[in-house]
Amino acid sequence: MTVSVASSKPGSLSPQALSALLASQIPGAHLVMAHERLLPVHRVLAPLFGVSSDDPLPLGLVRGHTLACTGSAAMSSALAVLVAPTQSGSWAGVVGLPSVGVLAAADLGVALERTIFVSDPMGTGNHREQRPDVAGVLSALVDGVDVLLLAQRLVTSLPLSLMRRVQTRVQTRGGILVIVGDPAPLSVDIRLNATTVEWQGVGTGHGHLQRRRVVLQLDGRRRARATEYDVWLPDAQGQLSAVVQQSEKSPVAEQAGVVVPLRRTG
Amino acid sequence: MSSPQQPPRCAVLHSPAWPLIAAIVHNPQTYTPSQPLAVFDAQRVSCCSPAAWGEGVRLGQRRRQAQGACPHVVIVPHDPERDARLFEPVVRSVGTLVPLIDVATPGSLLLATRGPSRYVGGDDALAIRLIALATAGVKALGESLDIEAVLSAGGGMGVGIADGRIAATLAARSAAHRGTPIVIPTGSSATAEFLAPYAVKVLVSVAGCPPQLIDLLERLGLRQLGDIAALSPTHLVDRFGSIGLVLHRLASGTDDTPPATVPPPADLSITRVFDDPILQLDMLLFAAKSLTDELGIYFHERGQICTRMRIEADSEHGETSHRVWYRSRGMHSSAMLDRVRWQLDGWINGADPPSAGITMLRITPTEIRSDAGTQEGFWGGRSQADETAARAITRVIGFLGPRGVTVASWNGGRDPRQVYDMISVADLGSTVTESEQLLLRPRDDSSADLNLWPGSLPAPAPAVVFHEALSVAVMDQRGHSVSVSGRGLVSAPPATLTLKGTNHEVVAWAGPWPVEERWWDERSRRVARFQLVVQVPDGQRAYLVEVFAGNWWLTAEYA
Repeated sequence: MTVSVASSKPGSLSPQALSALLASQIPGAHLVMAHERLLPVHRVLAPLFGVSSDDPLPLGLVRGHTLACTGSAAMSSALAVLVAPTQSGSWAGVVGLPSVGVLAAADLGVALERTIFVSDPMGTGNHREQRPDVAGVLSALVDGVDVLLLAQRLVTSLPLSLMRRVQTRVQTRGGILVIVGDPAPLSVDIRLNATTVEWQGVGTGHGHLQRRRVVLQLDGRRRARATEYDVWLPDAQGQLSAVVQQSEKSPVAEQAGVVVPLRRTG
Repeated sequence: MSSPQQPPRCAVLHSPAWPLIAAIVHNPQTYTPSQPLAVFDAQRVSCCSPAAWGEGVRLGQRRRQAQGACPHVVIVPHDPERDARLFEPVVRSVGTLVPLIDVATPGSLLLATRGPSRYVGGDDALAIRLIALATAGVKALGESLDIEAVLSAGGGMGVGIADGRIAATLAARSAAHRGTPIVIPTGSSATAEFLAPYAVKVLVSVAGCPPQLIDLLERLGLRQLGDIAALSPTHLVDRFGSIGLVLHRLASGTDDTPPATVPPPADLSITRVFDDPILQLDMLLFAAKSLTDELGIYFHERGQICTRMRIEADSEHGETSHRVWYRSRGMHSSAMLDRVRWQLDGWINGADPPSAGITMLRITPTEIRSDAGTQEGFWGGRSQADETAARAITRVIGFLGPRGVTVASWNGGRDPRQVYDMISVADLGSTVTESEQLLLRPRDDSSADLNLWPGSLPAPAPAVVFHEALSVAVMDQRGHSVSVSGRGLVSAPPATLTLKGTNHEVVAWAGPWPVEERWWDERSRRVARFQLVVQVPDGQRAYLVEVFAGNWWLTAEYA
């Protein structure tokens, strides 16, 4: 028998003590604490999830959770969530998102050798009778990969009861579900809202897009208040990095020297 | 180590490009022997006809290279089941003379010559008989075809007879080239003399030696089998351990056992008896799957892999189908199931089907070696997550078809849509086990390639790429459409972007970056690209748009 304990109140009891207490209450039970079922997050995202970024592999994503990425930088932030799990050996499945920028994902650090891209199981205008078994596809993927990235269009076009069953299966299997866009009315555990503040590097007819300042806002169940955090997503190398306060004064001027000239080719 | 012994004398019948023969016989309207034909497996040429070879098509080439060498090359689909099913009559025809035959792959079979050779009157006579029987087997497939031409399109049929499996296989390969059977006289000195000029690389394909070992040998300057045979076994054992002795025996033709094989336990055989005889192939394969899975688990638990097995099936009326299958790389449960399917499909749907349902199916592994390939890795290597993901991929392919599951492969290009190709997982290898291995192959270091594409946009890359570009409108201050002249000059600064009927104010823009690609053929493309940053109610959005023949298209969003 496995008993999951959602969270321990910080400060009142150490996790070990709580575990010992519960083990004495329920004889013969093997206890798995929620904090033991974790997947890593990107180091830059670690403060947002309330873990230390000094850790080489900050464990912040609770297995079994559903995460919705919203806002104008939704796709980039969803890809940023994939980075740490795929690099540490987990597989990721991307379903119904043919438009995902694979080069951007590779630049962010997603391990493409452990990422599979699955076409939309609802099909695009196919005959109804030829439509494959969506529930079968999703449950096979939930069993096989740790991180499942779903398009909002796919989630909202499926019956709500089916998506709830998928969520339950994700919880028992211990993966995470990432939805690009707002999946209402489906309820989610964590919302990661990414709002673009500004794009830098491009003027009127000169320069090129270099980096984007994004405010990430994390909100969810069992969180006292939303946490906010400024990041470059993407930065000049296409990666995710934290906004450092002292370089605030003249970010464009400092970057201006590295404009890569584009030559006419053909 | 036991003292070297004489390996049994073997005959190998080998057709270098059997898939081409099978394709011509199967579909004579589409493929003719005179065409330059090539089969692609996992995106590389796996075999080609002499006509294509003459034009410069080589094994291992990519499709583009092959078409560059020979623009009118005819591509034959890779279909191992067709090859196996059509090879069955050849096996049956040879089986009228020799009862026990090893089928290595469709197109290649091996038999022990001691009895048959005495029966027909010597090795030379046996070689001629084998060719005649195999040709009769192919002829039975298509009566109306010019059999000589068909066989020559497949590179002919070679028969090699020698002491031991390795020497016989190599002899059959060169016999196919030469057009006459090759019989190596018995005795280890003659065998060693025959083997000496071959490159050590052949040990990978014929003896299942690890490629790393062969690589090491080559770097040490031991390029030919003769070089190894000339060394003292003592020195080889000093340098390589016990495998050194095995290498010396292989190279000098005194021992034929592939390295690191272990004899199977005497009673390792798995049988399923059907109370109700079955004639449907699907039901038989379903039953066979449980047998092969059980064997797969048995070997997996012991860290072993089966390289040779015997598959037997009996019908209710006493007819039997009996084959030995060999694969030097070893067979996992899915590869075993493939062999069962090939054999039963060839029997049940072939020219001489059983007259009643199948009552018994038996699989007997006869050669096992320790498995270096699927040991669960501690650092790197295969992990449990890779195994479960590979299983999930197989299941999803079952639901969505082979095009439904893709992986990204570096392709290169200026356009963000082209930089990565999406390759169907099913195209990576003919069997699931092969595609698993390819999937786990480390990604090519793409950063070095970036410099090869002048004119590609610098990082960051757009996170959303529209493979079907959306039509948009870009206007200047006065409401006229912005255009780009032939010299790459913009008519006026862009001021508004109209996307899906909504106008957005352009706050910053950069470009035009003209690209002129492939001006030499009909795929030519002359576009100018822009980056536009527009103001929307909840902040800024950045787009990559391009103007092509006076029309504006949205190709990507920096989402």
